[in-house]
Parts: sequence; C-alpha cells; structure tokens
Amino acid sequence: MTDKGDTILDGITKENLIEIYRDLVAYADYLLSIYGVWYDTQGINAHDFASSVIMKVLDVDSDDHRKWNPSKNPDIVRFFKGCISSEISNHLVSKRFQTTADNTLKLDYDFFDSLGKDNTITEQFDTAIIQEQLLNTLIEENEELAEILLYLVDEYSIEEIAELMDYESTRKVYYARDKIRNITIQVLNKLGKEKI
Amino acid sequence: MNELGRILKWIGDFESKESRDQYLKNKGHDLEKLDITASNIFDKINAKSKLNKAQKSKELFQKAKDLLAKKETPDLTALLSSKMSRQFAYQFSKLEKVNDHDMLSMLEDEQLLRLIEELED
Repeated sequence: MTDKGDTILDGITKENLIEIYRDLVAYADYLLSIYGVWYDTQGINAHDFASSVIMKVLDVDSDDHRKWNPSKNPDIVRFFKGCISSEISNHLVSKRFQTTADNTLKLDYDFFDSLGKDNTITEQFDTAIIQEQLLNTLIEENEELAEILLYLVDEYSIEEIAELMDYESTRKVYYARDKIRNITIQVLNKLGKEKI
Repeated sequence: MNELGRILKWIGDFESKESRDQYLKNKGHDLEKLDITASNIFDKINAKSKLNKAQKSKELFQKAKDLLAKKETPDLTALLSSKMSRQFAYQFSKLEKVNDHDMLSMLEDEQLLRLIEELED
C-alpha cells in the first residue's frame, strides 16, 4: 500500500511520516492539555498543528517554509516538536507578548521555561500550588508515583530513579511516567474547569 | 526552568510507540484516521515536489535548447562528450542518429545545468 520508492526531504518515506505524525499529534495534544489550564485553546485540535508544521517543514516550496538544518538539529522529530511548541505558543500566547516581544523571542519562547517566571501565567495559577495539588493527588493514588516525582524534582536521572526505587530496569520508571502523565492531565483539567 | 516546568516537560515525552499510541487512544484519537491523514500529507507533498521538479526540468531543457539554437554550428555530441562522464560520453558516441532534441531530453537536470554553463561561456 505504501510507496516505498518515494521519499521526501532527505529520504523520509511514507512509513516514516506516519510515525512522525503520530508523535506530533500526541505531543501537540499533550501541549494543548497543559495550555488549557492557562489559556482558552479555542477548540484548536492537535491534528491542525501537526499537519501545519509538517507542511511548513517538508514542503520546501511553501511560502512559510521552515527550513530544517540536519547538521544543527539531527533529530527531525525533535525539530518538529520545537516547531509545534512555538506554533502553539505563538497562536495562544503571542497576543499577550505582541507589544513586548520581537519575532525572534516569540519563536524561541519556551512555555515550560516560562512557568514560574511569567507573571501573565502565574497570576492565574501559582505553579507551586499546582505542583502541590499534583503531588497530593499522586500520594492518594499511588505513593510510589509521588516518590518518583520527587526524585525527578531533585533532578535525578531515569537510571538513578530506577536504582533508588530498586527497579530491575528503567522501563518501570517510564511506565510510571505514563501514569503520572495521565494523572497530571486530570489534575490540570480540573484546575482549568475551576478557573471557568 | 522551575520544578513544574521540568515535570511537565518530562512527562510530555513518550518512551515507546506503545505508550504514545495508548495515550492517543485514551485521548480519543483514531489511529487509523491519523495514518490516513499522514499518508495524504505525504502524497500531497510528494506530488507537489514532483510537479516542481518537472517544471524546473522543463525550464532547463528549454533554456539549453534556446542556447543551442543560438550557436552557429553546435556539435552537441562533441560538447556532451567533453563535459559528461566517460561512460555517458561513450553512450552518446554510439547514438549517431539521435537528433539534438532527443539527446537533450535524455539528460538529467545536473547534466543540463553543466551544458547550459558551457553554452553560456
């Protein structure tokens, strides 16, 4: 069914693009879940962002083409994710920054980095309160997950966390991450609803 | 980056395809539909790229043809033989009855470009 002979931009096949697209929709969906606490996402869906970014990068003839430099960013999925992050930030946040930030700053804007620094965000929800609520929920659900989160906050690596938790492999930490992600999104969604 | 930022960034990564696909399903995404969309995007970009390439090839072909027409007695076979690879030149030397138009249409874009450079000198 797939055109194995056809490639686009540095040998990307249809199979590659299908995997990349799933990665990007998952990432955009996750980001929109997080942003939803602070901003009205206006019903924009993850598919739109993923499709738009892929077209901008891979369609080298498009007017708003975003050039991928493999020597600077060898991992194209990471590059795509950076583009999605900046597209979502620009779309949802730029209105707040239009008078103060130039275009370069907008493109470099890292939402995660801005948490705790940016008054326009923290005036709605104190990041420390969110963190505390997340930790309390995790303790109620599963103390082991809360323990892992605390190790993470203390900047332990995945390998170190596996060792401290006496896990046989890092896989269990990753599995815990999936659970923490689901719980975090639930906590954030609840906060978002409380805001309304 | 503060602690919450670091946590949110960390949990935004998916360790495996299974973990990512499970997340997508939990969030109500239809994996089959996603694949169809990706496949359509690929076809769209691929078709556009081929069209642009064909357009550029056509332009190069026309330019080489126009430049050749301006030369008084162009010996295309000799020109190509001197500028192309040995193997390619040998092939052309065997094609005595091929006219210039057909010969040009056998060239790749890169070869057409080299020929245009030669004709423009």
